[in-house]
Amino acid sequence: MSIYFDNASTSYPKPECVFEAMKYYCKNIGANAGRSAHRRSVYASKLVFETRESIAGLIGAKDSSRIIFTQNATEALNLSILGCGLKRGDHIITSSIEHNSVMRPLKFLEKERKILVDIIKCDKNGLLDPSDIKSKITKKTKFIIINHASNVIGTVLPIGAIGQIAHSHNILFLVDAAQTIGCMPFDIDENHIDLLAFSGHKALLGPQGVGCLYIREGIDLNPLKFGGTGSYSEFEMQPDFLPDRFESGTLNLPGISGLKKGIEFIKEKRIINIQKQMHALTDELINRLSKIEKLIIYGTRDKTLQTGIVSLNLNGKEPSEVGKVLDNEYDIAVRVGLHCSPQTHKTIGTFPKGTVRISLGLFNTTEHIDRLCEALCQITG
Amino acid sequence: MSDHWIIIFESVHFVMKAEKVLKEHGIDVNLVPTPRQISSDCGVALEVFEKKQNKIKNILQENALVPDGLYRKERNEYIIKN
Repeated sequence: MSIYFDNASTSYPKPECVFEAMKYYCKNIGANAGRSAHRRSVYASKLVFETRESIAGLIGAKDSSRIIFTQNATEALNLSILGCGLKRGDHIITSSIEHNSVMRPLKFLEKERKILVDIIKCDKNGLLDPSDIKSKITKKTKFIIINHASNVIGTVLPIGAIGQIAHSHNILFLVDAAQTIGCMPFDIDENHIDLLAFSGHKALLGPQGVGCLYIREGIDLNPLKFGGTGSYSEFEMQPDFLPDRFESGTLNLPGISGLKKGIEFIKEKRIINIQKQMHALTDELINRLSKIEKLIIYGTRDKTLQTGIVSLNLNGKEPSEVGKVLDNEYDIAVRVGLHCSPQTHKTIGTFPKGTVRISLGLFNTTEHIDRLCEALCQITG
Repeated sequence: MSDHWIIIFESVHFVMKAEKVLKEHGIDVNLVPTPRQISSDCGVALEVFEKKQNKIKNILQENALVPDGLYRKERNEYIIKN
């Protein structure tokens, strides 16, 4: 039995209905959305519209035209960071457990536009005190960017309290929800979120190739891409209305078909139930791992403070070696190394070696955890 | 007898949204290619059969939908009404 524990990278398997929908679209529809008025195109336009409405419902957005389809969460984050018009001297606050999809565009702007970036240090478990953010705010602070949950150790950050601080200081608030959308319920208004970036291929159970950005009304970004939108084609200027402004070029229709079904699947299960299921499984994983000698677990070890991501190391073993043995000898897929987030590893003290990351998904079972723990016991000897 | 209306929007997103909400109110509505006389765009417009223009306008307004143009078809002409 092959076991998959790399769900924080992308979820696997996907529900049958996801790839059935993709196959149906490719085989029977095929046409582009918003480009023509023939029935196939209208079908595609409706598909895109309905998926947007479904996503809006998921995050509590009242106007689904504010949901933009991107290639992935990385593009959504880049569009927010590069598109919000930051200028020389503008000040940005972020955390020390961000992914490179936030750190790299920020580093680019730091060098190219001389913006100032403050990285708020989380503790070694990834926990962050919102008052540390508040104390760094200056008159020049334009943007607060926060991971909803770490992709390395799963720690959930207090976006509600941070959102409140951002809102009361009139600072733009961007949340990277790649690791939480679909596995824990949250609302954009309650958390004062201005921009929400996430991927469709993790807990939303869609295929790779579709991400989303929610843009609150009143926030104007510059597009990353310009081009055909199927609207106002007689004008050479990019449209200023959403979603067209940010969706130049052909959309990933097969991907959106799959994502729509993935979201329907989790809505039917209810996210609150998914969260309970993931809590139970995370608890089981942490308890079982804690009993293994010579094994170090990073992060909070508290299911209520984290998602189903657990990073670990075996004493005296390289993470890459552990990953290789788990794959080759036990048919267990995990991710090893730095997980595109060197900042997090510096925070938890595992840079540059990294960790072995176990990330749970909706289709993991306690039997999978048994098999993993047996394998780790054997590896540690 | 119902009047024959054509409604266009900035984005196909709003055409789909308007179709959905008008249908929910039991109004006879179809998606049609935007007539060349109205716009040179290649997109989709809403064709609506309804006696009262205000009924259409109110439903759209309640749903924060702002048409780019609302036209009444009279013989072969489209007369702007918004």
